[in-house]
Amino acid sequence: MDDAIVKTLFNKIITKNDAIELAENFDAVEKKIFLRHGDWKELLKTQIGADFYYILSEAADEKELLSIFWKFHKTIPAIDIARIDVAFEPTYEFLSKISEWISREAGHKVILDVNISKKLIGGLQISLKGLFADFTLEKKIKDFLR
Amino acid sequence: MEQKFESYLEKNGEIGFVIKVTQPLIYANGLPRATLGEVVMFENGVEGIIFGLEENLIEILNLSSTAIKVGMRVARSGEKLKMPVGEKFLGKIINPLGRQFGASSIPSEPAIFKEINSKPLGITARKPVSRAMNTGVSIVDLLAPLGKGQRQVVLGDRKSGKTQFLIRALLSQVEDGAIGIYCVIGKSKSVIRQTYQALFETRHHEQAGSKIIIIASSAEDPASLIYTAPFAAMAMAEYFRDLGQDVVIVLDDMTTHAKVYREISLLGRRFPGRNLYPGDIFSVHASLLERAGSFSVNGKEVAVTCLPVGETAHGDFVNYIVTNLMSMTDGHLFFDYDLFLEGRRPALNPFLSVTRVGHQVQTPLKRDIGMKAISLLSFASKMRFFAKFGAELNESVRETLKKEEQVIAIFEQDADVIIQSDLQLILFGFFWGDLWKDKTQDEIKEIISKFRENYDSDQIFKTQVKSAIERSNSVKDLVSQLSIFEKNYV
Repeated sequence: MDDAIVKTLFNKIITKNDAIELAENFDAVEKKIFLRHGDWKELLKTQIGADFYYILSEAADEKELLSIFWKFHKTIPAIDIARIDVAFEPTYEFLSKISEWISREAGHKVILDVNISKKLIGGLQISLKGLFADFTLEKKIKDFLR
Repeated sequence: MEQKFESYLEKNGEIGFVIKVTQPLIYANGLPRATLGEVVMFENGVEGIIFGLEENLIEILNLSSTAIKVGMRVARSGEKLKMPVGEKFLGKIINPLGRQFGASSIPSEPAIFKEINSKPLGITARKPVSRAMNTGVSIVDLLAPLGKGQRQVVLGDRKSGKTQFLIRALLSQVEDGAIGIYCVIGKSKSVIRQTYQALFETRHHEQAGSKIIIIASSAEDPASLIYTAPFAAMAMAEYFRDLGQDVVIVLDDMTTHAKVYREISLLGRRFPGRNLYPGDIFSVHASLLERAGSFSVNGKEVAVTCLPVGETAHGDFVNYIVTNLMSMTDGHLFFDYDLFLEGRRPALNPFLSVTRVGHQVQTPLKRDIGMKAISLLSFASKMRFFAKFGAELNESVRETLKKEEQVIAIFEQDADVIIQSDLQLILFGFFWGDLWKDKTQDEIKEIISKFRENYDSDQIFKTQVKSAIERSNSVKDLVSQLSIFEKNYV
């Protein structure tokens, strides 16, 4: 059960900023728990946002909730980050699709570090673990002119 | 440059991002298939070479002084560091990347590119050193002779006359048909200018200058460029070697090179060894000097004679880098600052100089002269030491000391004077045959100068000198041949 929940949580993270925000919130939970006398549920509810809490709350009991929390918390820094350079401000749906596609191609979860570069005109460049792929309109035009 | 960067990205499909900068070392992640020594390019067009590889971290040596920022993209070129080589650089001064140095312009015709860090030729391509290399400096040619293809360290304190000797040796060899490469490693711009003037702008050597290349890195250049200089010079030498031409290469100086390598290694947090030098300093220098030697190229014997320079401090020639250099070469010439202060020019100390292969390529006459001269100087030196005690000197000791003065006068040479090998022998013959017994040092110098002038201008005299030498196998033979010159020179 907890693996399925962790996977669902992972799928909710799309960008590097999402991961950083979530990691910071988890750190805050870890630091504040003694103030709440171990009331994890209440603390998570106020600290990590409703969408993540909703997924976490599917855990059977508090023991499983804690197990998922720690597992997820430790795995966040190890997620691979792909840098994408795009010419426009991407929507959440666009990023979600790109993240899903890159994760499928890479065979594991990949989140996105988004950079906007207007000179690319259209399309995007992807850099993941030192590998580079150029799917921009700029390149297509250059190739055409060549 | 940006286009070049994009083309590298496209060609290799790999990218890295700068994560840390400690000039001249840059650290980047990415580039999963990067290899050591490979050239990389940053997005601003600056080039670097891969200097170290760690897990998920690449250490890049920046070849420029242009700043690199954290977050910049970097792409692999897929090629090792290469420099343009070719005849178009003859008579020019260039930097270690083959680009213009100072005001010297380089013709724009295309050049051949050669890897800077090539593998030395193996034992099957090597030949024993079998030809004498005349430096034009009597004391060296007679007492510590060199052979073509020999690697000989030139040691001495600052301002002890090393550079003057090297320039003379280079010009002498260039006049003999070789190509000269003078590599300046991290010197001040004024020193580089002086070297340029001495090699290219001296009236007598204008023609010789067109067969010399200066590869210069100034003290103001980035450490990476200074570090690359001797490798680039060796690559240039190998180009001419492969064309079948003898090359003389001067590396001035390897002590500075070691210091620059130490600076880079310490910045790279490599574990320091003796005197804080990195553990592979010997390997770096040895693999460079290994590329010189005597080779067989298309059945012809071709030599790359290498004269690396080691700088000593207060005459201490047993320091770490200098002893390293001594152990990877075929001997050393020691320029003694104390002798320099005494007024000896060149200030070569024949007792502390060693040549391991030079004697085997000498003619019997030259070898005989060398042996006689060194034993005379050695004996005279002991006698002088004895005379310090104020002891009364007998006639034979006084005669030995006078002879020493005379032989020193023969070896005395101004900085821009090259004495041909034949003349060196004849002059010694006059001395050994006691034909100048009553001459003072100044008178001997005057006669030598007259000798040189006649040798250059009088063809008959030149032929007479040559035939006298050809007929002699020992000093005794030579002395018996000198009667024809007595009228004019005694």
